[in-house]
Amino acid sequence: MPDRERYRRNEQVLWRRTGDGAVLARPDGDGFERLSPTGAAVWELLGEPASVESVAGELAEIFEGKGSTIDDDVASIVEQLVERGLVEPDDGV
Amino acid sequence: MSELEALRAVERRIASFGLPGAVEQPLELTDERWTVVGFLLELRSLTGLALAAAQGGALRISRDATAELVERHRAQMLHALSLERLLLRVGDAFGDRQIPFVVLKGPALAHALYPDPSWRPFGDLDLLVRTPDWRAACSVLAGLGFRRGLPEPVAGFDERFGKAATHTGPGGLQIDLHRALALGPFGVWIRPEELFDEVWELRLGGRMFLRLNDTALLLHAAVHASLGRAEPLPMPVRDVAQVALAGEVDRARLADLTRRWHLAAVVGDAFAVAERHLGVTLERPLTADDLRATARERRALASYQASRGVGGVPLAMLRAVPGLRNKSAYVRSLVMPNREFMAARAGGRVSYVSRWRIPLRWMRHRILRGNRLTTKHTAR
Repeated sequence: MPDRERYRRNEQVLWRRTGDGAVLARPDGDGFERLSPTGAAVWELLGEPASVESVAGELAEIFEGKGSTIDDDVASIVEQLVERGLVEPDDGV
Repeated sequence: MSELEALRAVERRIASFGLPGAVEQPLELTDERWTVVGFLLELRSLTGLALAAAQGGALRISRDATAELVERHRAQMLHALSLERLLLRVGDAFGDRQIPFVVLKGPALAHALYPDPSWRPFGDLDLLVRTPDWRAACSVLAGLGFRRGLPEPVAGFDERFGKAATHTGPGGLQIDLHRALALGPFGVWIRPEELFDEVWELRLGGRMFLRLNDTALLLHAAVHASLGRAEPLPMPVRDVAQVALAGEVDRARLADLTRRWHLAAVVGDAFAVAERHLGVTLERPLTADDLRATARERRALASYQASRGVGGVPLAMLRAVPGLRNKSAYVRSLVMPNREFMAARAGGRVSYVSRWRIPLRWMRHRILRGNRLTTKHTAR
């Protein structure tokens, strides 16, 4: 997953904060996706189009974590969200 | 303070969370207390506010109680998301039949007025359609597998006098299909045909819907808090404060609608109840002159409150319905509803005796209290 590519939430996905993360609902499905607190933080930061690098940078600032570990975690979370159709590459439109 | 009063005090404290002027001293609850309060908060749709209060330090509960609150809140959020998913589906179906509709209450308030939609859970969808579209909208819902709970008492009642009908879907989700905002006289005075002029856009799931604008939303919140039940629930009361606080209310328009829709007593009452229940002072968007209610409006309000259980609303409705022919049709529908309506209402039994229980109670009430319908206000 290229670090500089920008991603954003799929705007059709419905979601809510739950206190220990978030729950997401695809418009045409029956089930729900549950996000951990870190997953929910990534999801929230993708409310505006952002690269994995910039999301990781913001999370590192919030959690005062080490850059490379957070980079890997965020890349993995974004990849999973993209695979599930919850997040999509931002084409700038 | 009785147990009931103590629980009410807790739910009102939670309902006031985040409002300017609300009590700042943290509310501390033991685990023993939590066993009842946790259940109550879920029942009253207050888990979002309670969780925000716990995270902000305004509600102090144990780690176990917090974990339970998170579970209860998640269940409410999943329900809200299921309803929003249903809204997308129903929106498509109404769109196919070219039936415009307005999203009322829950989703509209959650997304447009609260700082976080998770603060405002909701238990069903409330959708408003124009009266001429009523039958088509009901048939769209039937086509999606929804069943109406209570049939109309006589043919044509819905369009002439009805407020809403509850439809239950295959998965148990419910839609209240409205053609008016209230039962009784205020349902007549709040002109349904004008509501579609008071709308803004609501973006949800990448789609565009209609909701009431903040001015009409404030009036609807007041109607719901003041007329919905004899004892107002905390969430509708919070809605009044929330819209007053965060809404972009057009004061001139609000004054005009309040006057023309005869809502001065209702708005005044809703603000007073919100301030008393939530312990805050709200800035009034209307002047004392705007809120000066006529005797007729005050009497109508009392019919939903002090005389609610003794047929107050139908009587007040009878006074408000214009024209002798309409009044006579309304009385006929009350006195001789069809068998399907009575069977649905009585859970299968068709009994004109049970149908007359409320009118008989009302007559007994009048005889015992003198020949005058009470308009006494009780402290709520």
